[in-house]
Amino acid sequence: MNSGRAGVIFVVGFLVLAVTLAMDWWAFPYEISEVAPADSSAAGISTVRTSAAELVRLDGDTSMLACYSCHEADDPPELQLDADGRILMEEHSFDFELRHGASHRNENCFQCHEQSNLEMLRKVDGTLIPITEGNVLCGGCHGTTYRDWESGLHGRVSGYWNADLGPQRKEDCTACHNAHSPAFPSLKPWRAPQPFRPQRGEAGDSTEVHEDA
Amino acid sequence: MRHFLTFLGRCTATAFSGSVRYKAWLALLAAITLVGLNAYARQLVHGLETTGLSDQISWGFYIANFTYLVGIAAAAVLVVIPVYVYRNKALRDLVVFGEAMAVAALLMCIAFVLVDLGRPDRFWHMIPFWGRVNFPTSILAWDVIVLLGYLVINLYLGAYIVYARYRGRRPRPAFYIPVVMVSIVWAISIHTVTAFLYMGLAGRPFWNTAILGPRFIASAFTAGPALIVITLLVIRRVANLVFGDDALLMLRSIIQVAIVVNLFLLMNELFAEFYSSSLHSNSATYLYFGLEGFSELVPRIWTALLFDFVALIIFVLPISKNLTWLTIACALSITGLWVEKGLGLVVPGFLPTPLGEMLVYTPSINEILVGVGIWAFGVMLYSMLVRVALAVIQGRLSDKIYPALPVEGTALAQA
Amino acid sequence: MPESRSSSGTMNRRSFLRKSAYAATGMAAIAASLAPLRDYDDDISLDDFLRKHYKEIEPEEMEVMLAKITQEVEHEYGVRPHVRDLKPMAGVEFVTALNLTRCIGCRKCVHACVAENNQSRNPEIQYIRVLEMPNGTFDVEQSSHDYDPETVPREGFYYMPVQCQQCRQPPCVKVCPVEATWQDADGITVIDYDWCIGCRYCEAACPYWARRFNFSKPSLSAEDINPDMAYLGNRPRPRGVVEKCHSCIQRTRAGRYPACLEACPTGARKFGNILDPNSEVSQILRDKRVFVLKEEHGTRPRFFYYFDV
Repeated sequence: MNSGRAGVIFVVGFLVLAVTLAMDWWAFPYEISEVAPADSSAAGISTVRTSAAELVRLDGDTSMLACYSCHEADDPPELQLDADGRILMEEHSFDFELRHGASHRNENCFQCHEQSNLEMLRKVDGTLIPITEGNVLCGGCHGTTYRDWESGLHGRVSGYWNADLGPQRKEDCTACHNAHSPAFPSLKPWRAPQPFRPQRGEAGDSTEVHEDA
Repeated sequence: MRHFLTFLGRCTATAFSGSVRYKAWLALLAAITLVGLNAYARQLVHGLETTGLSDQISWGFYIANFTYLVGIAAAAVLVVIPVYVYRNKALRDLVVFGEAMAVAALLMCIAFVLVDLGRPDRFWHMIPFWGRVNFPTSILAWDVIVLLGYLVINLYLGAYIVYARYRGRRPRPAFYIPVVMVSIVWAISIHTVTAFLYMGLAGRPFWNTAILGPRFIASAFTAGPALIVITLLVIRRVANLVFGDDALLMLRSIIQVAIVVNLFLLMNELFAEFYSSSLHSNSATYLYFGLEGFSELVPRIWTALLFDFVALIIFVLPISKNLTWLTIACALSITGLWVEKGLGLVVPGFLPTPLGEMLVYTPSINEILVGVGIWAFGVMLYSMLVRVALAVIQGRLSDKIYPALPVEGTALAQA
Repeated sequence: MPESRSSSGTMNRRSFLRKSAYAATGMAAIAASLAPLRDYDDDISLDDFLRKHYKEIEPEEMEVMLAKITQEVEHEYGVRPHVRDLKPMAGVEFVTALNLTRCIGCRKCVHACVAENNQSRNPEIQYIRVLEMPNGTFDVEQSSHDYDPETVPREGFYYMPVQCQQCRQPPCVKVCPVEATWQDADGITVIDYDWCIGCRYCEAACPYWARRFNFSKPSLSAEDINPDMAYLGNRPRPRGVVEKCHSCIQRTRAGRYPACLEACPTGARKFGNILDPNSEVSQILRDKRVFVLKEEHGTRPRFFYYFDV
């Protein structure tokens, strides 16, 4: 081949290449998983339920705490027991599950509520306390947990770790635990992480193919 | 100084001139390089999302090639040692081709590191005295320093020897023998430091093994000379460079030792991994047998091992004195080790992840184009360096013929 | 090419023209190959390019930079942020303790963290990974990361959130080639997003998989922005750099609890100053049987786990 013709081939070839490069013909797609929209509900710091004390503090609907709007003040309720000695709950005006302690150890209303004054709680030593001060009552049985709660090791805190800079907020026992059925409730988990690159078997539906702009 | 600048100018002119075949070769490589550059421009715009990398497998094709090429660069010294330490005459004229390969491989290494960076605009942060180098704790900082040092050493040695030849002078031993000695130690060090890059990571049991350093050296001293053998054969054929087969056989005997040592070390590694069969062997299990249904690398690594093993057989047998068999064996070990010390080393280190995930890494096409572009660039550079060195060695480029005829079109340049 | 042997001027001129044509073609091809750069939208000014390392920035320069970040965020998202350069407090060393008995694996902390720290929503960057571990093993390889049952906790499993362990001997800091990440006096390992070169060596070095890289430009919308920002913390990150959990320094260095702790519905997370003997974490380390993850790596985490019935 003579070099003149080679030169022409070179020039033409490179110009063609230049055109293909400039036209993005060498752009190939690459794969990134498509991500579902973020869920901002997680940022909230509310507790799973509202304690009686909190309800009072917030001026909420405290009708549930007004026992004598249904019960007769001078007629203390009696427990209705079934053949196994367990309390029959249908007598009660609102539904709740009584499941406090394994093997039904603590399924007697009047271990915590004062039979003669339903709006008061009754500590193990017999002293009566208002329903808004339930934490102490729980501590009567759950001593180590109460100790941990007092020092912030158990339970929810928020606000400031540094007391010099701001207040720390601590939640009541019943902000997380229903006193009648204290096990922490199961929750629907927040969205699972998604791999950055689509993985086998997922390609197609969850794939966002990036064509170059 | 003026002489040297003239020399550089003439070298550049020589590098870009030559036969139509030579120019077509350069043009082809340049075209591939441009496609790679185009792919890299795309990566610059969109970020490393254009690759197949992820937070789980954060290094891949680029770093695999980088690691392999550091080995190639280090192996250049294997042409140097016999000549300057053992006074081997057969290889003396060929030293400069080794130096050229080191230079080309190092520039490719640097390119592979650069394209792997998320912020190439901040590369200067790694430059001593200008940026803020985390020396001596970061092995990557070490690596940058030793690689740049090795580049300087090889540029100096190659340029000095070729320049002396160009001026028709004998190279003065005082000017290069000490540097040669430094370069020998330095060559070992660049690859050891690259191994340390991986070995030092306690969280990656696949890499966190003392055998990695020796294995890096052994495999580099197999693949490197093998590549030099093949390039020498090509040079001899296309450039009419006369040298005896004993030079090639000298390299063969180096490979013979290195390949046996490499496979021996591999055997040790496999034994430790699989006999103990602790949870830390899971990366190796993934590589060789697949793990939890993930087995992308299994066929590749076994092919590579087969290549390594067949190459070993050929190398130790007398048939490898035959150049055809030698070429086959070299090609097999180059490919085998590229897989074994490329993706076969990098990817399993990341899997399972420290938190026990398994994922797939597939290099994207754009990523591969960038890599191919760098290889084309390196080969182009190497071709030019070899062309200049040849012109000097063969006496076509010398200050005795100065001013020379227009280089282009002369019979001498038709090589 | 007999003409090139000729010394005639016209021939030389023709040769020159031909070479010029080659050179022009070459330049055109190079320019064409760089065509994708026309979409380049990262405005890197000379100031950005020559920006100093965090530790070399003088206080008055920092003021200028905070003002610049404020301006940029306001320009891009329409939200005026409150950006501060919060320094470690004297006499404070932060420690986290996580009660595995309490954790139910709901991942609320994961998403609260994302909301707090202005992480990219797409691609999704999360600092916390919650592992669902079958009872009877401590092998993370048996864990599930993408569990998605109707409700958690599932019978027979326990849940282990993992994030930056704020190691006392952090491998990530050791390997960073440019000192872009370091351990501050309060024990938080931070990253200078304007110094990181994006080599991802720290990602390879971290035994807890705590680091994340911005493979793309982070995307978040105006309503996602948390305007309470810290320079080394949750200010929006550029593309191509590594980020990770910094214990919410925009909160914790101002005395507040981190976002993951406040969001946790069960109170499984505890955080505080280990140098204060009365802090929650000091008591936990004293009274509970705590342990750290992957102790054999010698990283000495400041993140403790414990079971506590």
